[in-house]
Amino acid sequence: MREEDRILVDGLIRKDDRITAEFLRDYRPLFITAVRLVYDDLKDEEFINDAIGEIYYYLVRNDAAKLKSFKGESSFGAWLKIVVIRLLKYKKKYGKLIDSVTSDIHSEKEIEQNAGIIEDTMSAFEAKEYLEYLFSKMSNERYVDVIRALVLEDKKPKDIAMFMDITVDNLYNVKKHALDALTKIAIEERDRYENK
Amino acid sequence: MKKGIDMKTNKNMISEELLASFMEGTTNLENTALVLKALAEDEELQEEYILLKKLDAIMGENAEVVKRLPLMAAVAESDDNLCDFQCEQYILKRREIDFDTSSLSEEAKNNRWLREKGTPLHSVGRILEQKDLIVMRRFGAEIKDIIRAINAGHDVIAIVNNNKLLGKNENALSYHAVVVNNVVDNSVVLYDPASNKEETYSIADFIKAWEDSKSYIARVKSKDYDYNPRPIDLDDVELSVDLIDLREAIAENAHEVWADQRQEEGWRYGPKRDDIKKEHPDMVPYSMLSDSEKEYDRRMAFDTIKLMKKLGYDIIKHEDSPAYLELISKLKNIESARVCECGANIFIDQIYCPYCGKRLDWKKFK
Repeated sequence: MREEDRILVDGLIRKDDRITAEFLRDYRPLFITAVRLVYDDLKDEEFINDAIGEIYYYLVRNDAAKLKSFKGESSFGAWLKIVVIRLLKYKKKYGKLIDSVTSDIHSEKEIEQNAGIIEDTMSAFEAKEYLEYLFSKMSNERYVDVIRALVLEDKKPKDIAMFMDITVDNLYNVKKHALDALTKIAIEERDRYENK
Repeated sequence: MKKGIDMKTNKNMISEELLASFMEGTTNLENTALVLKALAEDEELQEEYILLKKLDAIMGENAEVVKRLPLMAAVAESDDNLCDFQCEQYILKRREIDFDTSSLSEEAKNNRWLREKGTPLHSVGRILEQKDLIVMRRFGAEIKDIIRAINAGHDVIAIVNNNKLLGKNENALSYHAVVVNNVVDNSVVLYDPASNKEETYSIADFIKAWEDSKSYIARVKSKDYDYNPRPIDLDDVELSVDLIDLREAIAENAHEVWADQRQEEGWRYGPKRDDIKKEHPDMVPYSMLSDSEKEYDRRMAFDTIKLMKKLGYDIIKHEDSPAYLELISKLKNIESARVCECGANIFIDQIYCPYCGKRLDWKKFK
C-alpha cells in the first residue's frame, strides 16, 4: 500500500480528527460529482449532504470493515471512486441505504456481494487466448503492442518506453487508452455473439 | 463448471480493488482478461465502468497526467526582458554574421517575436532564421541531445527556470534563455545574458532548472538538408467525443482549402501527379479520396487539436445550454472572482469551492 494511502486509511479507521476532516474536505468534490452523476444532475443540497454522510458511515461502520478491506492493490482514490459509485447506485435502486429503525445498511448483503471476493479465476493460458482473440479485432497496432509488452510479456515499462521513444508516464497513458479500447471491443464482440 | 474462456463469468465477481487496479492499468495477465470478460458480460458492471469514466472526465483525471507545454510562455529573466534577444546576438557574433542591433530589435518587435513581457518560447531563434540559419525547436530534449548538437558544431539555446538555476528559494517560474557552450565531466558551461559572461553549473542543477521548461531547446545550425522530424509527443492527450467529430470537419475543410489553392494556381485532376501539366490525383472531392489520403488529413486534424490541448488551450462548443452560458459568464467575470482559502477561483453563485469542497461563507468576501 502506498505510504500516503496507509496514513489516510489508518487515520480514518482510528477516527483521527484531523485526517477525517481532511478526508471529508479533499474528497467532497468527488462525492458531490458522484451523487450528481448517479442522480442525473441532482442539485438538492440536503440530499447531497445526506448521501455524503451515508458514504462516510458506510466506510467506518462495523469497526471500519469496509476501510479494512482495502488492501492497497490499487490507489485509495481509485478504489474509493468505485466504492462510492456502487454504493450510490444501490441507494438509488432502493431509495435509501440506512434503515431508520435498525441503523442497518439496506440490502447490505447485495452490496457486500458486489464488493466481494473474486469467485472465479482464469488460467494464464485462457487469459492469453482471450486477449489474443481481442487483439485480433483491434485495429490500433500500437495499443496491441503496448498491452502485449506490458501485460503478456511482462517487459519493463522503462525499456518499452525507451523503445517507443516516449516517457514512462506517456506509456501508462497509452496503456489506459489501450485498455479502454480493448474494453469496448470486448463488449462489442459479446454483443455481436449474443445477437447472432 | 469449466472455468475460463468458455465459462460464463459470475455476475458481480469483480471486487472494487480489482476494478480499480484494472482502470489504473496495473492488473496482471489473468486479472486483465478476467475484468475484460466480466465487463463484456455484466451490464451492471458496464454501467459502473461508464459512470467511472464520466467521473474521471469531470474530475479531470487526465488533467494531471497531461503535461502541458509552456510554448506561449515568455522568456524574460534579464534586463528589459531581452535574454533571448541577447542570446541570439551572441550566436550571430560567434558565427561572425553582421547585424545591426537596433534594426534587429525593430524587426523582432514588429513581428512580435520580442514583446514587452519577453520572447515567447515558440519565437526563440526567429532572428537567427532571418539571418539564414536553421533553428530546430523541441521540448523533452535530454542532455545527450545538447552534447550531440555541440559536437556537431551547432549552437544551443536552452530555456531554464532562473530562480532554480541560481538556487533562489522561490517557487515562481522565471523562464530564462541561456546558450549552452559546453558540457564537460559533470558541468555545464553557459553563456548567461544576465551577467554577459560564461557561468558554470553542475549538470544536476542545470537539469533541474531546465526541466521546468519541459527541457526546451532551440538548436541552431547553418543551412543543410539534414532533417529529422520530431513532432511533439501527444500520446498523453485524450480528446472527448465532440472533438473527435470536429476532426472530420477539419480534415475535410483542410482538403478543400488545399484543392482551392491548387485550383487557383491552375492545377486540375490527373491520374498521376504531373508538375508540368499541373495534374494531381487528389484534385477530387474529399469523399472520393482514398482512405490513406483521408487518414493523412485526419491525422493532421487530430494532432492539431491535440497540440492545442497540449499547449494549454481548450476548445468549447458554442451552444445555448445553461452550462455553456455559465462557463462563458465565469470566463468573462474572472476578474471579479474571489479566491478561496485553498487558492481556487470561486464565483458568487457557488455554494462549495469546486477545488477543496469547503462550504463558502460569502459574507467573508463582501
